[in-house]
Amino acid sequence: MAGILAPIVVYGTLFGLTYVLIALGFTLLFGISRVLNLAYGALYMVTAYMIYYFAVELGFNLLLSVAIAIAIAIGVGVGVFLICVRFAPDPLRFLIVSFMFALLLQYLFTKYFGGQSGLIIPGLFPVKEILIFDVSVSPVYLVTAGVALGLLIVLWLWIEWTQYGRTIRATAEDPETAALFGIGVRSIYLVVVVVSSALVAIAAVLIVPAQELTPTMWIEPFVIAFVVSVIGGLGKFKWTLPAAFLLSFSQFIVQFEYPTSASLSDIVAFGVAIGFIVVLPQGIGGIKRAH
Amino acid sequence: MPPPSAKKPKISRMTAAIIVVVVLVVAGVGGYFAYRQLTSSSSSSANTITVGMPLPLNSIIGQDLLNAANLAVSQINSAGGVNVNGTSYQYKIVTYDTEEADPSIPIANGVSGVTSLITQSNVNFLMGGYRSDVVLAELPIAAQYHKLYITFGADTGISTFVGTNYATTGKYIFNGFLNTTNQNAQYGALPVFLLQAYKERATTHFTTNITNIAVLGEQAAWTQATIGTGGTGSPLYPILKSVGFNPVYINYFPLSPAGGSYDSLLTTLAGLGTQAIYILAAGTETPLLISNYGAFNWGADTASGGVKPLMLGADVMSEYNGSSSTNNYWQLTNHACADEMTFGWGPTLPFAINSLSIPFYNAYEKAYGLNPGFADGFIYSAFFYLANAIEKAKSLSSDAVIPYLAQTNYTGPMGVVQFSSTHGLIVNLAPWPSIPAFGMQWHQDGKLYPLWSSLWTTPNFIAADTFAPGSTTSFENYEEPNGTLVGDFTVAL
Repeated sequence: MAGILAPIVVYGTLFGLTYVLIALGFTLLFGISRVLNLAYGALYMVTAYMIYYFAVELGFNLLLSVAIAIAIAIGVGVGVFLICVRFAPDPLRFLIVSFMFALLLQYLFTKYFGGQSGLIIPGLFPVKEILIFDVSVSPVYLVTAGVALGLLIVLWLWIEWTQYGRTIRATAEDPETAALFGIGVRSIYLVVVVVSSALVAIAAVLIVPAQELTPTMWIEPFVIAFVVSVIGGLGKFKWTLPAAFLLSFSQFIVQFEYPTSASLSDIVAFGVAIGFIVVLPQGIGGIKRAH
Repeated sequence: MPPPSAKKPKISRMTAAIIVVVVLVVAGVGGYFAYRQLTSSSSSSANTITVGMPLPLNSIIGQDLLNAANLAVSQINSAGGVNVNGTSYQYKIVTYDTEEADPSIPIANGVSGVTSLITQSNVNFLMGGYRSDVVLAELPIAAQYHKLYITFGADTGISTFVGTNYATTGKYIFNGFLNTTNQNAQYGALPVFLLQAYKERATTHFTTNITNIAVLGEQAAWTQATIGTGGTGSPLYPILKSVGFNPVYINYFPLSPAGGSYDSLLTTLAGLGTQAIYILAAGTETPLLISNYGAFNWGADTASGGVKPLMLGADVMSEYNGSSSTNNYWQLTNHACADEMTFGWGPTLPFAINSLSIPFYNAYEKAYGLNPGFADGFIYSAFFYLANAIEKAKSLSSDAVIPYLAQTNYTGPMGVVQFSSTHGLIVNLAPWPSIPAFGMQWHQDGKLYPLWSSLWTTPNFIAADTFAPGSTTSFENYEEPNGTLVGDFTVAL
């Protein structure tokens, strides 16, 4: 093994891009609608269980099951958003109610699936790992990284360079003024929720086949999404990539530099996030503006 | 009174809908609890011994403990039940799903489970438990209500609880599973036994002299006594050194690794020249670790020469050879468990401690289509020795039964069972003189096979035909742990 540099670079890059895919929808939704949707991570769990249900329990074709699962995740995402907007419109109540929805979904799936251990879904990609710079890498994470990069570029082009993207940005800047100019703010929000839900569902489709399903599996991706968003600056989705890289590289540098310190990498990750909240509350994306 | 023409206050459709929903929810919840109350109050009816079982029923681990309990209950009841002072009583089991096999499930689930079984279901006795931290929180509840509680699976801290205030609270607790007072000595010796067993069975294919060993313990209460602070600070470190290993890494492994993959941990182990990975795990996270281990590309430039390390140790999940993807370790690990040697307690496989072991194995397999799990023989036995104690006490009172249970001298499928002064299980597991276990390994035919070693000095096993020492087993397209495809061969068991 070529020292610790190669695994830090390889895993830092691949997992950084994986974190981008997990966090992109969360930070996009906050950037446009200014609400913290804490039910976001639960959609990851919903997608995973739905793929299992249709592909394994009902025996559907895997790709069809994936399509149905993504559609259901989008439906749940939109439903939760609309209920929160209707009954808990201010940001704090939205945050609380959406978190309650995440827990509600967790307990619903625990009861329905009995929280069974050993639920796994068939993977879309080969499991045998390959070597990149003498570092063992799962094809799952290579594909995930590629998809993350692609979606980030597509999303950036959509928001920055299309007519619809301009209306989205206008809505994000000042929804009341946008509405005065005839922009359908409500439909803009709905489109963003659909995209946001689809993004976390796609992350689940790619990553979950490597994992066992549990009703609490939404917590980790949610935490990643939240920490990446804080580091990048809440709502500044363009800064998701550097924020995710900062998180993943700091984790792997610590992990390989201090291999016997079991939880040190997680401590560092949260330390970095807290540091940004204290020192740079606007995140990386706020540095330029602050100056 | 308002005049007849006055407008009635309007109630919006949304408000009306909310009121209807609230009324329905309140009625539903109230009805549910009323139903629970009515049904539970009748659970301790006449001539019934009700045993409350808090178990992780949402996992295969809890399900098979319940299977073993049901098997014992059906056999005892069909043989006439338990004779209490001249009257025949039938065993009845009431369960509570604590979900505790998932390490993220809070301890409170177990506490409310035990409380509910005692106060709502009016159970006579308690049996069950799995996770040490959960069981430790449940013990004071059982003692507070003066309910005898025989625990299984959990171990850490139970004897301390019993010994600290024996007369008032400790006496109510019995550890029905193997206690690990010499846990670290056993865990230090087990890799030697497993490697020796493997060498003896496959001498022509075992060429690497394994010294560099990495220890991965799951983050749980029961591993803390062994892993300690990790590295050279681990109590296991000097023991492994003393039996000829070079421990290159001793640490906990995360339950949820970063990004959902253990690859970075395995990369660290490869870089340390690891030749064997010694795992200590009882939770449901190990299939992911073993799957990652199986798929990992160990490369051609690792410090260990590009050779995939052996995986060996204690892994409760590795015992499960059911027929579905949720209870079959071969499927759960994507076949990666073929390179994992673990240990189990008889009769997880059909070779035995005494003449009662194989009949128990066969009855269990016939009833459930599965092999018994790690503690099933113990929980099965518990219903029999509890019945003996009840008959001697001529009472269903825990206080009356406890003195007789403490004097248990019961011969069952797990050997002769007795209890120590702190209610720890003393079990004579001959022919295993020092290690209460045998080796197991999955093979490329997708089946679980026993391993044993000449280091077990009295190998007078009682084995079912297919596993009898001296018989042979054929393998097709067998792949060695280092990835070499051996092809078809026959090995003598």
